[in-house]
Amino acid sequence: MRVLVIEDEKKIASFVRNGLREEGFTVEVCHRGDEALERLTHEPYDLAVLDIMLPGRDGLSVLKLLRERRIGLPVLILSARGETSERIEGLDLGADDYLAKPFSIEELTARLRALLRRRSGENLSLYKVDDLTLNLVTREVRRQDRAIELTPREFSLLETLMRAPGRVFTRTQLCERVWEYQFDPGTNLVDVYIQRLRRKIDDGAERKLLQTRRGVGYYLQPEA
Amino acid sequence: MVTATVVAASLLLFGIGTALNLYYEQVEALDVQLSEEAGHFLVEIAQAPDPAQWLQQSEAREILALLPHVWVYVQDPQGAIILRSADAPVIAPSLFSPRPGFRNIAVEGRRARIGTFSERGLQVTLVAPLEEVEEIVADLMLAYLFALPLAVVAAAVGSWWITHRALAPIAAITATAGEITAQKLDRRLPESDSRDEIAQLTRILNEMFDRLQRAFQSAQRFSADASHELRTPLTIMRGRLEEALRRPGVLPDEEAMLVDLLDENIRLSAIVDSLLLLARADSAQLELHLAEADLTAIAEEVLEDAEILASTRGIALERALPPTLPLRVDAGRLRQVLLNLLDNATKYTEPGGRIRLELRSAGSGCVCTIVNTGPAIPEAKADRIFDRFFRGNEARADDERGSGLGLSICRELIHAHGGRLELAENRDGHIAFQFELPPDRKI
Repeated sequence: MRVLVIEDEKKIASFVRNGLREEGFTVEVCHRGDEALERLTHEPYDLAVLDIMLPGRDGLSVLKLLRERRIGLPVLILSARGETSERIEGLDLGADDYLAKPFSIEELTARLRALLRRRSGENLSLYKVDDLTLNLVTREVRRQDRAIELTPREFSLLETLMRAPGRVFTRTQLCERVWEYQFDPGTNLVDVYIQRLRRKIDDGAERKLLQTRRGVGYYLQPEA
Repeated sequence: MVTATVVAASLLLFGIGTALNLYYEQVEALDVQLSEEAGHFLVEIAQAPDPAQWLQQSEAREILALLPHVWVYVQDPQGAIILRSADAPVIAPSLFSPRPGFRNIAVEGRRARIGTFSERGLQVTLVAPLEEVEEIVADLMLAYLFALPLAVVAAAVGSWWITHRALAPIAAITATAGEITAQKLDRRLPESDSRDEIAQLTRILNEMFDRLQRAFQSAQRFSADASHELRTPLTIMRGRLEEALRRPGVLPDEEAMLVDLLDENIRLSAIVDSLLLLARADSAQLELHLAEADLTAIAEEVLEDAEILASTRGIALERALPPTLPLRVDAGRLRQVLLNLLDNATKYTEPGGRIRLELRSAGSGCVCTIVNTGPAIPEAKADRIFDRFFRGNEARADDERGSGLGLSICRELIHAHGGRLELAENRDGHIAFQFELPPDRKI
């Protein structure tokens, strides 16, 4: 998968490139808006990660011209402004997704994969880890054939963990992701929800899936 | 209405004054006339060798006949009438005055003016009816009464028209100024070329709007710039930390340190978000995404989290919610406010205490109260709890750290909804935070 990362801040471009390469993407980087428009118009890319504030031509205008030229590759917008109006404007101009800075590279790769799966018509709505499945559309969660009832918060927590199996999430990260408004992660809210979730998905199962990395956080992976 | 009443009252007073004045002027003129007419007669009496005899002559009667509208009576020193006009009625002796001067009397039921003169011991009395004078005054009053309502209506309409014309430019200024909001700061009042007060006011207001727009734009630029400048290094730090954590062969204590740094990075990002939110609130650019939502459902969702926070501390959580409470709000922001207030209440309630969330509709808006049983907030602190970065209790021993921005953000978010968040009650065992949300807001 060939991705063009358009980001003028070289350090951000660098860790995004490294992170995406680790995930198996072929990554090229470009620092200017006008140059990005040229390359995206003339070369075949599968994905673009587009910053908004760029020299040469700003990201939104690059996006607008791309869509006018009928170039329909999936575009994910990155922005440090984080204002909702900008997000709406970006999506209106034809962006496929939007991510506010600072972001986690895991979140970025998960979203890019979702964009590719949507493009290839793959079933985007189903996550699977071992014999645990989570359906985003029907909101059904199953362990083997056993249906599991989850509250909206528990569902959102499990969804976050299932999007990146094996990756450790800290309490703060989970708090940020599940309780969008980032309230004090010092509370034991996350631990309580993890305990509940563990009871619901792992109790009575042969292999435990929800793991604790002591002092770090939680992750989802079949027991070794 | 007031104008019409005032005009009517003053016109009425003016009318009465005019009528009285006219009446007295007419009477005075009559007195002058009576004196003149008496004068001819008196001269004759004064010059006659024997007045009593002269009075008996036909010359005296001829003179009397020349005074058709006046009745003349002449009395001798004993009061006996020795001469009177041919058509003069007999009048009661008591009506005759012993002293010279003028009076009003009634003769045969008609009001009359009586003038008394004396010459050589003889008393000459002239009586003229007042009918004519009264008629003139009555005619005037009648004309006046007919004219009065017309005058009042004319005055009311006229004053309304003049006021309206004078205030129309001010009404236009008010309407346009009302349209100049944070979203439409480039609008200006239409300026005219005239040099009157209104034009001056318009120019001054427009200059003020210019300054306001510049201030707003620089505040807006500041939050955009600050946002970019703060978030870029945070993004780099986070990216690098995550990279380091993913590296194979990270030692456990390295990992613990990196996780700590990552958590701090996320906290710092949250604080930056909060500060930018407050900066936007200060420049009235806080964006809300209003949609019809059920506040009861939002509260129940938040209570799910609050239950956990409360139960781990042995605090009972009570609720009083209506079955449903639809209102146009920013559901995400309202959830943030409720969770923040409940989280706060949990921190400041002693184990075994109680927290109660009450929601009720009020008018077409709602009132939400969160009561907890903690100790009263000291007065000095109670005034400052909504201040930015203010912490209620520095001495807390556990590892909980808020940014100290929670309550000030809650207040701004409620304010952006057109409501007000306040510490409604503060006594030992009963701390109540309350906010009301008005009905549908127009933006």
